[in-house]
Amino acid sequence: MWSGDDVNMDDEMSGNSNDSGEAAMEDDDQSCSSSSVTKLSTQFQLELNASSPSHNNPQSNPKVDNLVQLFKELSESEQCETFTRLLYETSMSNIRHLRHLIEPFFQRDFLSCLPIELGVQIVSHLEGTERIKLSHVSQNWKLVSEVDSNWRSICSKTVLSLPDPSNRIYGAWAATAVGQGVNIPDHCVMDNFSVTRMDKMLSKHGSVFARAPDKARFMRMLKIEKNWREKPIRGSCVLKGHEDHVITCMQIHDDLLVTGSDDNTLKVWSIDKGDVLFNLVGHTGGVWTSQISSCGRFIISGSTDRTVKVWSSSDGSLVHTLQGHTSTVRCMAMCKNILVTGSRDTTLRTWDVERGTCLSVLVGHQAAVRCVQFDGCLVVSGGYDFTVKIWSAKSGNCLKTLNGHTNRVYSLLFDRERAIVASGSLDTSIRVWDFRREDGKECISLLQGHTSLTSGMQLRGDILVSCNADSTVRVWNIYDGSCLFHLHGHRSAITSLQFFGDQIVATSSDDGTVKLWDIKKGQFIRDLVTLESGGNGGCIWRLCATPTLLACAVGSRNNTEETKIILLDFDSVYP
Amino acid sequence: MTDAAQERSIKLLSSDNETFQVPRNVIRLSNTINTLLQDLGLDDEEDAGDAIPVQNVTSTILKKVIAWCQHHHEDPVAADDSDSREKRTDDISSWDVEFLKVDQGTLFELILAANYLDIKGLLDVSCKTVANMIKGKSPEEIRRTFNIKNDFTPEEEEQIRKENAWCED
Repeated sequence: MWSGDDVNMDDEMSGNSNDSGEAAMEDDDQSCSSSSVTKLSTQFQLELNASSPSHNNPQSNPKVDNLVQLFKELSESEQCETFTRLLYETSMSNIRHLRHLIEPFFQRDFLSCLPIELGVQIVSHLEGTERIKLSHVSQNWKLVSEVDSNWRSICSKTVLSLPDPSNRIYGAWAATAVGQGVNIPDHCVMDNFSVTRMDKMLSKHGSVFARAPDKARFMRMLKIEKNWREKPIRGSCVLKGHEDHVITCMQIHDDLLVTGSDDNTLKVWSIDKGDVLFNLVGHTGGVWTSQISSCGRFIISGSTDRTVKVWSSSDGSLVHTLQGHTSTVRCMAMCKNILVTGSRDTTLRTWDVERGTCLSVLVGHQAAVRCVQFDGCLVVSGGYDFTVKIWSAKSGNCLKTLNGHTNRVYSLLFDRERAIVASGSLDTSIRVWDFRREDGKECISLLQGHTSLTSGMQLRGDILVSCNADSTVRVWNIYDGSCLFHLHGHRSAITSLQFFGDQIVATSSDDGTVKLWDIKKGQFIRDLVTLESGGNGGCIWRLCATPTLLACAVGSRNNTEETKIILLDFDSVYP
Repeated sequence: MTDAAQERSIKLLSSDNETFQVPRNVIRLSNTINTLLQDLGLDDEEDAGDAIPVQNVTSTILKKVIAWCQHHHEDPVAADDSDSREKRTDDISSWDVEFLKVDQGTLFELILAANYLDIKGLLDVSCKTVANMIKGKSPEEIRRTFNIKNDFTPEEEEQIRKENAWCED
């Protein structure tokens, strides 16, 4: 009587033969204790009942009634023996049918039947992408999987601090960056472009946000990561400025973008408005370094005119001119309202930005100071005298000199928590130092392999990524000094690097391209920007990134490419 | 607690009235029993005394819970990882994996028992086991695995479709 259903059953069975099912069949010990299950309303059984009317009403067969009555009178062990013997007396298709009847006895809807806090605990062991699926299983699963506190725990600080979705459709954003020699290989076509714009206008907070805000935040970040990795670029624009001069420095703070140039000026832009807010005019020499204070109120610039200027970011006015350095101010670092500047005059100075006063002068380098890092307490500086020095900002004393490089030091990284400093030098090596170690033994690893000057470094955990004028990127383990990946692709010197998250790095190059890499897999992902003038003088000078935006400073030294900033938007609304 | 107290046996009574003798230092893994013994001052008594009733836990499940404690009672105390962001589910010991190869009904009862008896390690590992059964499966596969009925209305199905489309788009 079941033969008609055989094919269907086989299908069902292959889908159902999971581990738990197999385990259940073998575990004879448990069969009695599971009698508390009373509900057997599986979809399958309903279908079964519909397809076999005789089964619908068992009472109609006196022979079966009789047998069941006899069975009821048996003891538990006799019943067990009867089951076992009957099993060998019947057909395979009946056994298959039995299997489907029995299986639900060994299944449990965990998230619906457990107390909610235990369901939440099960969900807490799943990654975000797995959790998203749970809300599609059933009403109860949706409820348990969307408990907000559970999502909060897997949302990183970056996710939680992400500003609301941006507009980025006004000002320069009204057009795109594509055209006039700028190519964005994966830019979306105009039709989709306007759809995206409508989305941005209409609903920034979708239905998921209304149900579970932290889930929505998590999903938005997943989307943003996809936008970086693979999706068509859906927003881009060009900010024109500084004419045919070089953009020497660039910073982003919230909506503010600041660019400094050897045309003696800085420009302050609003990213979302796609427009310039202020021109900071006053230096009498090229601007080579700049910073935005962490509070966002001040913009600070250092120039070949030997001065440091403090500007108000709210109206672009000049607040202080800090004098004292006797040559070009080449580098600076900030913590709260304390600024440290390094100069070609071989000294560093610390300043109170709000009061506009010099706090101390750090004297000790034998040549120009090229790079500096500052955590509010310790100053780390690298110079053309081949050394790295650690200073106390308060006393102005040099605490340590790290010797080892055999040429000028150009770049620095500083991780205060682990007392780690990384320095990149013209001697082509990168040295990683633990400055708590005794004198002469501070260098914990020597990263060798690059063949030219390191132009940028960033650190994530034990992994250091460096980009170099030898046109390659290298990924290193800072503790054993091994080079995990050596990434080729750029055809000319790499000028800077920016992380998105922990895995994606963007690099810019003198070959006129911006490339994206997966540094955990050691793979090239895609070209974000390619200049037609690339190879003939068109360069990407530097990059600056936020989680939702990449800014590329573009130009040339031979008038083949007009100086500009290209902005790429990776933002997403909430689901 | 004295050494003598450590070596002492405690009697537990399951919901179906079966008595189990458990060494004191094995059952210490249950915070519930541990606190009970301390609060009642039973730790100082020579005699095992009356059996402690463990409501809601059947003899079949209690037997398994005791077996788990027996195997784990000498484990070093695990650091509290409640704050750690990345939860792992691939760190279940092979003994526990074998121990938890049971039908879903048993696993379900074990979770409830571990929760009631407040045995953190057992609760943790059994929840992880359920999480592992969910991992890598589509919603439909999850329904089949746990015998769950899709009870969404057409409107909610549409909502889900939209959410999926948003993720994929």
